[in-house]
Amino acid sequence: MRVRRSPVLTVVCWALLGYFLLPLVWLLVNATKTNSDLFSTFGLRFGTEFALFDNVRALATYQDGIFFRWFANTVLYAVVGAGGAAVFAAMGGYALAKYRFTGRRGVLAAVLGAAAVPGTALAVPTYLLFSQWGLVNTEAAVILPALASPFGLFLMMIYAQDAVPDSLIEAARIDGAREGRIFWSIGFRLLVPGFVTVLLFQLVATWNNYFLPLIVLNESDKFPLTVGLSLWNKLANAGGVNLTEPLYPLVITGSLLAVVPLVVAFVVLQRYWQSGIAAGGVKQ
Amino acid sequence: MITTTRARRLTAPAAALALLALAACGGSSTDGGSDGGDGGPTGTADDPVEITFWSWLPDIQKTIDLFEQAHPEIDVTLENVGVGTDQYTKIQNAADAGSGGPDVAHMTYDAIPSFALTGALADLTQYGGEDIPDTFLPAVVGLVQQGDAVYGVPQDFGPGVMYYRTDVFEAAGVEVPTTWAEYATAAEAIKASDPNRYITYLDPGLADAAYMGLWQLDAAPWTLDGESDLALDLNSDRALQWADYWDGLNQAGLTIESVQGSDEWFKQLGDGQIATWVVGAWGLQALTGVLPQNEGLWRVAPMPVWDEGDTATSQFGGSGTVVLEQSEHKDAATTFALWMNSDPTAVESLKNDQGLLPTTNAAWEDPAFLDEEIAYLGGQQARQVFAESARNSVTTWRWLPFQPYVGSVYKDTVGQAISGRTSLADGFAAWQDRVAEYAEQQGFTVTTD
Repeated sequence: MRVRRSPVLTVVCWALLGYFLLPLVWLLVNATKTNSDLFSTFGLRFGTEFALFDNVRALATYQDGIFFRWFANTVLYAVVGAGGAAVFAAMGGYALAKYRFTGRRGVLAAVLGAAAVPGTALAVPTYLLFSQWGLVNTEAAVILPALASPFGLFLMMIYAQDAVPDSLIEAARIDGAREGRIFWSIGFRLLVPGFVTVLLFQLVATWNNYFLPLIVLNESDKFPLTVGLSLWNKLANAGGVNLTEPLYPLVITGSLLAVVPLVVAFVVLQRYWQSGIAAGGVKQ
Repeated sequence: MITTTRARRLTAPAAALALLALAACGGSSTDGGSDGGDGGPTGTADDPVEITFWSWLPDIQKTIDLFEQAHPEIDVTLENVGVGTDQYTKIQNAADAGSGGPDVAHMTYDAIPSFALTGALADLTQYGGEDIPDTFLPAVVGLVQQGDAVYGVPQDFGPGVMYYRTDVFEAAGVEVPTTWAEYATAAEAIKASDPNRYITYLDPGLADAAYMGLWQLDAAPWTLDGESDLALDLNSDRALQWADYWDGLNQAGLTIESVQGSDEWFKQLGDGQIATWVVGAWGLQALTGVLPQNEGLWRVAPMPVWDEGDTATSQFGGSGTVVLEQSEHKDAATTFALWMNSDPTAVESLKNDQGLLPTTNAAWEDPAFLDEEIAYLGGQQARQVFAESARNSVTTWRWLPFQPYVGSVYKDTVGQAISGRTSLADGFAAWQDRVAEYAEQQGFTVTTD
């Protein structure tokens, strides 16, 4: 088949690319500026001096380097939360797709219903529940809710229905494999592209999660990057607060560093994604 | 995913308001735990009482260290959990849950009545704070007092002043205004000297600007009689005087719309595009911190008055230190809150380490403090101006128990009029309607003129 290029589509694609890259370019440019350059030079042009490394150094020392503490916290919350959520979604989705059991429809309805409730609406009840359990201001208060991903479960169920042929499972059963073994050795491997999708979605969601940690955490040592950077930004905006260090460059450089792991995660994980999409398109 | 985050961000203040609303209409859960006059144990140096303090002031630990030296029997743990509404949401959650809050917290004056109404704050006169009304400036005592009860120790305040760019005024060849009429004349001269220059900005989301104006006019836009009778008067002659004045400048294009505190706004200040900033005295901290390259260009003058010979000023911002009712150490907490804001050592630290304007009578009688020359303002003795404003501040201003809501609908009403350059008076009428509707839902008996 001959590939035809559409000039209109090409232009639209380039325009969209520019549109999506613009904030990142702004971030990159402004992370290299000093505080006075931030307020005196054009936003998309580099300032009079290149201060990126000074900014990173200031970030590492301000308030005893609490920024990197926040960074580590975010990594912990995102990796445990998203990893756990993706594993649970894969197991649950597989079970829902491949087993027929009493209450299956009930579970499905509950999952679909849960996916429809925005997390924000549940945040305050979650707080009161955690307060009763003594979980307020613990890492668990951020990680536990992140482990449940109704959307991920639903996606994995749909994916498992097609990606894991029933005949393979039957063959394994005839060979004497137990259900756990079948899942981990056969089912899960076939589910990897879907698993990566859910993992990426959850990783982004947990990495960016703001409201839940904001209300359940009461010590800045436990904050993730979102809450910490927003705190600095508000301090910088507050005015009338005696700042020993101008905070805007720290907020901007901090934001730049904060998006790097997500970019890396996408670059590293996307090949699993592509192979999955390709695999689905071929009749085996 | 980005949209999810946005939605969550926007909802944070909304959720806080919903919580306040819930707490305001129902019986509060914290009342049950009240233990009367028992302020908790007294510690010793070997076995200190431990209290937790929530504050977002970046260097407040220095002041705390001084306190712990003076009071080894009390051990203070500082946590910075969020600025403004973020922290208030947490305090409200903790009040609803009955535990989890700090013993002592930093709180802006406008938020204190709402937490006092729901029983979340302790009346400090029961725990050793009975001298607060005599120790602190009359200009701020009214902001923490309700009847005979005192719900906070004043920490800093924002006596209204006008910061202005000397270079912009010189270029325009116009005198620095002392009345609002002169201010309007100066606005025209500045615009005429350079079409990209404005006398000031209007921020459609900044209710504080309107509060400051109404406060100076002693407009009393709301009066709470007892606990539930609320008289609203946002359409009074005085309120309309303010609205019409700014309407005139806005519709003539003499002001620029800008969001206070945004980086764009700071840039406009730094470039001289915005020539004056009428604000609490604390504005100097923001200028010094964010625009060091402007050193020497700014000066401070008294806030303009309405009629020649008038002296009345108002305030913008400021905060106090509150003690939570759920605290088990209210005596120790009150000792700390009082010491931090009134002990001479602490007042020195508030001035030097925090850059705050202290609120004790004693501090404002100290010539060394009043006469200090501020380098950023070209060596001006700025605190003389601050002190004059503090003395002349109208003392009858009171915040409502649901002030955060009042501020939040400003943007939808008056703010809309500012952005659309339509009548601000209509904006005020809409503002009053929204406030009245909400107050009635909360169980207040509302009368309007």
